Amino acid sequence: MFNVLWGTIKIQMKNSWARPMFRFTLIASPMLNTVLIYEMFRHSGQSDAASYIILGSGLMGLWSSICFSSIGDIARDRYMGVLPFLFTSPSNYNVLIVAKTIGNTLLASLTLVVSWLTAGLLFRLTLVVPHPIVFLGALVVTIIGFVAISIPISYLMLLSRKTGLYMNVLDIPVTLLCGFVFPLNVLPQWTQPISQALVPTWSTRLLHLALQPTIDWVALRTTMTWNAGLILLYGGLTVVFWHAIQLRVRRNATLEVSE
Amino acid sequence: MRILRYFWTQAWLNFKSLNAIFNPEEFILLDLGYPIISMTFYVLLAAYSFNPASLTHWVVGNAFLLCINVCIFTMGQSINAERAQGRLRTVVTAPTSDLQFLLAKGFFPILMEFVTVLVGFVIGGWIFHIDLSQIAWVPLIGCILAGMASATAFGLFLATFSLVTDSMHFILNFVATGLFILTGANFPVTQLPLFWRGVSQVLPLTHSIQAASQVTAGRTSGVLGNVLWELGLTVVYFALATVAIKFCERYARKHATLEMF
Repeated sequence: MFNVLWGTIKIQMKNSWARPMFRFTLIASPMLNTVLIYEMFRHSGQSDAASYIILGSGLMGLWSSICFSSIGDIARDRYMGVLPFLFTSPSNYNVLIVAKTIGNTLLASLTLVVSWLTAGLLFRLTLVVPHPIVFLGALVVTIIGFVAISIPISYLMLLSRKTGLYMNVLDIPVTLLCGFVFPLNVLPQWTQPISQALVPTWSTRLLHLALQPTIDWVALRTTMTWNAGLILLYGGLTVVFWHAIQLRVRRNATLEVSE
Repeated sequence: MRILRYFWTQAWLNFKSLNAIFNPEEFILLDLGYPIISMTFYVLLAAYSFNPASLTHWVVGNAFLLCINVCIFTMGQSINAERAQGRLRTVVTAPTSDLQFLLAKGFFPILMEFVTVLVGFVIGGWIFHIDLSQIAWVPLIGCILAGMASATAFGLFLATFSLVTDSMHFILNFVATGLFILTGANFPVTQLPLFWRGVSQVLPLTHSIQAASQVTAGRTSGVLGNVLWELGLTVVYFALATVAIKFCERYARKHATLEMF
């Protein structure tokens, strides 16, 4: 299983990199978003502007990469005609999806580096990381969280022949609801429960907490608990979705039905 | 008459083929819900970063940017769509003008997008407490039409490059995000370096956004000048598209890039 996992991760990274759209979300999008957000924050006087500019544009790029890659992979496999082979191959399809998602997310996490470099080179803006180990840990949890949320969404896409619609429609709303570029108190109160149910909200909070000069350990522990809880919940959802969806697509013969 | 009938048939057929698989809820989500959420995101970002007394300028600017979905993406990807369905050779060798064919493909989506921009502006105004009763609607609609005309001509110009490159998704997304930065919708153009300030003047939407901001602020000076500039850009981009499609078609035949993807 490890060989299948590792082989799929490698091939997925190569395939994703070969697509111009993925290269846009990986390189051009975080650069352009950094410029846009920097110019918008330039005269704001907000003390946390640097973290919103660098982390925000990086996370926007990370999420876009997931939308246009991990979530769109099902549609691409369907279009290329390989979906039924992957679905029925002796290597468990779940392992393949997990590996593809890990490959994409690892590659997509480079958006954070691109944002950091863009802000440094163009605007001499740096992100001070007072506790590198805590920040690194937060980054790992963030990547796990993003992998965890994209798998159940990918499975849902097995049901739909309109994957293109949904992967476009998921991009901005999650960026808006998870507070990548502004704090959640800017949003109306009724949106808060939706935000709280999304693991990227807690990953973002964790990254911001890890950047504080003095770590608030209580808040960090609470945020970690939420991250862990939601990751487990998404894991559970993945199992439930898999059983329900694989039965349904076999019964209705809709696996290869596309737009 | 025959040309008009052909245009109408192509336009309607394309519109049906694009939207037939969506049920009404999905159609509204895609054409209205998503654009408004996108506009809300940028306006909220402006509310947090600029903390202004009124958000009118951002609602106007981002409502205008909603037309990018169709004017840039739908127009820009129309050749790609033909290629994916194996019809590009027929389209290119048909006696009908390629530009006419592309415009027919964009006709109904552009009409829909006009409604989206207008409704987006009204809903944005309602969400962000803008007094819509004081707005001169006729000049505002004029600004929207001028902006969409130049953005469509720009999208047509970009679409021609589909014949010679397989990276249209990259190009279109790059240009669309560039428009968010350079048109003055999200921050004043004066913040840009001199070179990029110059570029922003020849991009679609910059002048119509300026004109619309003046209209919503109750001023009339400079509105006509900005609208005329925008219409001038429409003519320039349409002329460029006419030249570029001939050049790209010849290049594609010569280098066999017509069906490259």
